[in-house]
Amino acid sequence: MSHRLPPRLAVRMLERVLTDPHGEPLIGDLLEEFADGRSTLWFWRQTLVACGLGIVREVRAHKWLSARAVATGWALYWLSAMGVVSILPVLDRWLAATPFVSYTLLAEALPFLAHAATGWGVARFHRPHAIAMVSFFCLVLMAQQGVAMATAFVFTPPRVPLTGAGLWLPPVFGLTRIGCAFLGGLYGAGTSYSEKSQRRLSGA
Amino acid sequence: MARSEFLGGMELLVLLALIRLGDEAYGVPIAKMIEEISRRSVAAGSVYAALARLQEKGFVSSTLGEATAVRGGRAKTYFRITARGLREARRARQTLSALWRNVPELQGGSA
Repeated sequence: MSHRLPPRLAVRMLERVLTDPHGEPLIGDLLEEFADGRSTLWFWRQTLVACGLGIVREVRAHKWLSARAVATGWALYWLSAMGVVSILPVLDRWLAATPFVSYTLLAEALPFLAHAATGWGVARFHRPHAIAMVSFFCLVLMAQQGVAMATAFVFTPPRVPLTGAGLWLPPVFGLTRIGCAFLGGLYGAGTSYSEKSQRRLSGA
Repeated sequence: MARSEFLGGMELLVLLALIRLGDEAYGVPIAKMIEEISRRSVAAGSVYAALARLQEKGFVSSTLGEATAVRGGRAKTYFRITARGLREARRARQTLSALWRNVPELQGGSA
């Protein structure tokens, strides 16, 4: 019998996403198959499919909660955006006398922090289904930003054709901000699952 | 005409695997049987998604089995087809057979 350990991150993902009654036996089945000689790549593929289907199932089973998660996310997003806009002039005044901190760097970092806070808030307000709700909110955010970017590009095309960084930086920044929202959501979902996972993997 | 939901493709495969496996039907053997017969890889997640839908429809019941160390201390869930599920499988077979009949493109040859 194999004594290999399954990828911890994959097991943690499964434990956090699959919160319905079929989650535990599914994780057990994957661990059993892995111990029987399946590859790490196989385990990851199964994890991604299971997590994707799990999120879709949770969103379909809790339609109103999903709608509430998106509404909560937008409200928090708007509030944090307002916060960023109002804090920037104050920061500007404070940092004028401080040569050590770059105002530009902070101004660039704040939207990422605001997104992380938004994801964290969505997770905290929807604890029992936090990961599914945060994932759904991030997907909606991604769709909205994609549409906004495409619309801006079509209706107000840049005067100079975009090349290099000008072309790929905006979508990369957009995706990174959404990634921050997702990471904030993971943090907001709590650490109890990972602790449970650690105990199980060590056989305690 | 009675209004009822049709069984999905994966649901039908899982239901037939359940009938063949009898008392030993849990996620791993169900997925393995479908993989062996269809010669396609099957994600455990899609097997459980089908099982969840079948259970919601009342075609399948489940019982908790033993937990083992190799499963990280997680119990198996055994699935069994219900009388309603068996009726639905028979109905699906009749429907498919009727659709299959007298279609020249589907006569003879192998998959």
